Amino acid sequence: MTPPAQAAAEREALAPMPLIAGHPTDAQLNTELLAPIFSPDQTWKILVGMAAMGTGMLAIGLTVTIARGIGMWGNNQPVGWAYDIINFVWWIGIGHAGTLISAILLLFQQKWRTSINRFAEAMTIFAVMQAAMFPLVHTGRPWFAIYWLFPYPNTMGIWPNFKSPLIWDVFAVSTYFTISLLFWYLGLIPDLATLRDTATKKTQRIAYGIFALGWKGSSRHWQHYRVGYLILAGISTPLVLSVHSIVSFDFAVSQLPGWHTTIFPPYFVAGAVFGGFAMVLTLIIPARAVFRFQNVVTGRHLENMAKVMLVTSMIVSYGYLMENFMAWYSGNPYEAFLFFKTRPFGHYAGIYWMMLFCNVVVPQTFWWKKARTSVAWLWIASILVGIGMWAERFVIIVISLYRDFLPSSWGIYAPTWVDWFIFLGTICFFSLLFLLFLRFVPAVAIAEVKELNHEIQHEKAHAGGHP
Amino acid sequence: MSAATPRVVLGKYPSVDALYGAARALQAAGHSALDFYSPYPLPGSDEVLRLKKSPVPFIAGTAACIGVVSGVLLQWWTNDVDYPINVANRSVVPTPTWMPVTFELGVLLAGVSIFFGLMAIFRFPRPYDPLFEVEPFRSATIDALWLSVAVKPDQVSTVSEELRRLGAAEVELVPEEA
Repeated sequence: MTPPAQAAAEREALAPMPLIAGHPTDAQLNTELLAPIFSPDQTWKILVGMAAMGTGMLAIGLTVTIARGIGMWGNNQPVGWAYDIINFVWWIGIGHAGTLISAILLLFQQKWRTSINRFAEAMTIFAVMQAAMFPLVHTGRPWFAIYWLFPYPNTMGIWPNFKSPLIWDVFAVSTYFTISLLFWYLGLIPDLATLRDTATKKTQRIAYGIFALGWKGSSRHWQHYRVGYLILAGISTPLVLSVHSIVSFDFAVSQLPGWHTTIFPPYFVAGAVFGGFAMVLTLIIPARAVFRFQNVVTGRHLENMAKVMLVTSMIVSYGYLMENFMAWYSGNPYEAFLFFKTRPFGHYAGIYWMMLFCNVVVPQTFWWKKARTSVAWLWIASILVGIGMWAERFVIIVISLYRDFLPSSWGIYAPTWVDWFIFLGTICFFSLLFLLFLRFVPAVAIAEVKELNHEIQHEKAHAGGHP
Repeated sequence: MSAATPRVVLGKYPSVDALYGAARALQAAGHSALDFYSPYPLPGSDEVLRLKKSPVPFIAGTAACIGVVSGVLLQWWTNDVDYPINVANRSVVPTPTWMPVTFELGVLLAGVSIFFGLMAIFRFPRPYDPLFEVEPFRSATIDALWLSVAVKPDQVSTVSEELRRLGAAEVELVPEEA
């Protein structure tokens, strides 16, 4: 091979995979991305049926809990927090990838976010909905919880204690949900208008017309819209970091070994992004196959997500290492007992080792391009990471609680069927909401993909003189 | 409806350059009530349309300040004045424990004000618009670039002709609002 030809071949081999496959026109992108809405799939109906039945488990679990009290759960003394708070933290964490992708990657001008941001934002909203359910039910009497949680004038003349991290949580989670919902809906408006204008049935035109609020794609509107969207991204960035930091304060502000740790806020945020990206992969890999989005959610998107998971896994691993180091370096016997005895060799040692395997070992495979580009392995790894992150919350909460300072108060925790019904029920409810989203709302941000498509074609035309 | 109510003429253009060229020519001819419609934001349209700076940052900034101040006042009044809670005898006035709620309220009000501020600027919700009566105009959110110009009723035919001369592939007249 001649040197220039060789250089060209090497350039080709090293060039990243495209963000949008082929050279689609706006009309082609439109048809392709709206196909799931206008030509529904039989698989979808089956999946919705299964998810709806699974949601029944949630209804049963919640009914039993509310009718008979939280004594129906496995929580006891000393393990007063268990599945409820584990699932709360796990779901909230999953939600974080949505805001990270839509806000932080937007600010860093990472163009690959465009095809996946809508998925991830929807995931955030649905995950936060599941999360919010747990602390609310855990109050035991949710109908009273409103004055425990929100400051409103009541006849008893009392207010929530704003020095409590649990109240900070209420503000953080409700703000996060509201802002995520507004951000998602604002992003959806132009695409709902596209749907309204593409639809041929009158009912669809009216329904999407109402939700599109009257969007026409006017440049006078786009001007304000872009500024508003960017500022919303700007304020969502510190918000997403604050939410999991505040969730970590629920633990870090206490004095329990395993909880009382200054590294918790950054370590929780990294863990949330890690688990959230894993969930995006778990959902997007089957969705892109079923709904044929491979042209806009390409191998490059999956590979980039694998890289983010590798980085965040290493931050989480550093967190594990530092916790152990501080337990040794502090010389505190309670810390040492927890980290060197209870966790690795105690009753729940299996869960601890599973956490290390899933969160530390599995993502190390992403150093190899082969692992990052194998769709099957990415999917398996993403599920393992999801399990690992759930195990991490179990380790933090249950293992820290079941061996208290005094051996006389030691105990064992085991979840009941109600715990399982509620946990598995939230997974089904989340899936149900996600499936409805895939069917009725543009799952890929069409306006943004069109804009990106034009940018890419413009760059190509100017770089090489050929499309 | 009075005879002086301006009518809206629409022209569909094949490229951004043609669109901007037509807009500049119309501006030179004295038309200023112009707008573009596109499926995605067009770079440079603000300059061509000579749009003023967006008030959205100001709205968001003001709302964020209100959120922060109300967060501080809320916590101070409820926990230190109306129903004082002494936690470990810590100082009463600005404590670090106020920071999370203050921050969250600042973000919450800023975000909500951006959304509703935009709705107010756009005068949304407005599910009906005479523009939607023009069937080909539906392509504005799909794959086409449209230019609109509001003109006096007696100018409609000359402006329509002008739009065609400036490269419009299609020209449409928006029906009068009922």
